[in-house]
Amino acid sequence: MTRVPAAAGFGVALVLALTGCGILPAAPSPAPTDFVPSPSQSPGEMTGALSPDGFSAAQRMSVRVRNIGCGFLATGSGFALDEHTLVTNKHVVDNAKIIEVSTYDGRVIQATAASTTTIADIAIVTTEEPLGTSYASRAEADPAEGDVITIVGYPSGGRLTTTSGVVLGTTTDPLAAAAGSVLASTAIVEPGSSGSAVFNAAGEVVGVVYAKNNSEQSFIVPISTLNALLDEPSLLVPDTEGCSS
Amino acid sequence: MTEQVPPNAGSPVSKSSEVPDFAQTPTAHWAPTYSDPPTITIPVVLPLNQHARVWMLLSGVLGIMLIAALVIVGYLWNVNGKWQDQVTSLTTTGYDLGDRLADHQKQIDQLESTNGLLTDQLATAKDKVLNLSDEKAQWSDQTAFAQQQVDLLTQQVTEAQDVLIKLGRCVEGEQQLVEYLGTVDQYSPTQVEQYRNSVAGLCASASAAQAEFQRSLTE
Repeated sequence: MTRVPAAAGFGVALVLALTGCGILPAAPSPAPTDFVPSPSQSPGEMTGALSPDGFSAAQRMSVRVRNIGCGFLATGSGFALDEHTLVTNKHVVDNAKIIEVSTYDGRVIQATAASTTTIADIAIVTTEEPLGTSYASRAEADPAEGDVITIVGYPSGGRLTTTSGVVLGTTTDPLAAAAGSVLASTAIVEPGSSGSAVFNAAGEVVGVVYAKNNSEQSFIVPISTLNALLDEPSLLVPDTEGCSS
Repeated sequence: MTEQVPPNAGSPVSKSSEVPDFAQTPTAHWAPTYSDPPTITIPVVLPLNQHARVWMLLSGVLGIMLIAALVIVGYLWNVNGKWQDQVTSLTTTGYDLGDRLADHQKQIDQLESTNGLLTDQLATAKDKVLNLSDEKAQWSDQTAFAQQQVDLLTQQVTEAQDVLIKLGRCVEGEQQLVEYLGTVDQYSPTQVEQYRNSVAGLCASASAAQAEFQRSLTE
């Protein structure tokens, strides 16, 4: 008769001991040796990181085009597609004897050749000397009505200028020179802005400025047309330099 | 050697091993003799009463619990020491981090101030670069335009020299014709007429060149 209560008591004590160990506070785990987290992103990797010289990519890829013709001098704008290729308007380089390109930082580069097309007011100019380090990222689709756009160029042949506007929609070419539709926008441009790159909010090129009207509306060759031209080089014809008259 | 007798088997007795087993011994000579009873030593273990057993059990349990409590106290003492060590370490680390944070905050303030200044300087420098680039472009335009003007003037001077040469030949021809007419008896009329026509052609060409030159000047 005395063994049963003893065993029961021992069992109860054991259960209490085991369950008691469960509610006892544990010893602290080893403290971390370093409380300073490692940086997850370097400043250079952040979105909108500064450029090496403080100018934006859009400014660095924009160029001023000087057309030294036979008895005339004209200026326009353009933007770099790659190290040796830039895009501008056909009417900017028409009848050129010499084409010179000025970069945002004042470098003057001689153009070696130009190609134009009849389906749009677009010219592709090549250079031997590198244009710079920033090149255009072309969008896949045209901007929609109401999209905010930014134009970077050299209005009136003056200093590099940035202006913004809104896409009004597609329309026919007011100059009746281009095939297909073009875009109209509220961005104010001037003579000399022709060939300026049009950027969307993501910094992609969505068109090329080529004209304006008396209502201060600007007209843009859509990026789809430029992409089609670049995808089909046979549509571009080398422009013969020299004086036609 | 004793044997515990179950409590329900009558009076609990313990029998010594020296006690003869009367139950198994033949009883031929056995007869109870009341005058001389055998001496039997029977150690008797008195039964524990219920309270004693409870107290023993309680004492055992309490003893176990005391031992367990002592173990727990020792364990808690150890854990407490470790926690106190870690708290001390963390407090030291906290103060160290606080000092470093304060230093960094001070550096951030200084860097923000410097950054603001550099941002202004960068904006000014960018503006200056754009202005200088624009000035250079304008100068290049003017140079290109001036070169065009020089080319045009050079072309005009060349054309003027050509006109002057033609006019000079015309004048020389006219002067020679005057001399021929002064000594007309030395030449046949046909020769004089041919020379007059030749001079007229030269002068007509000079006049045409002069007219073309004047027209080009007015363009």
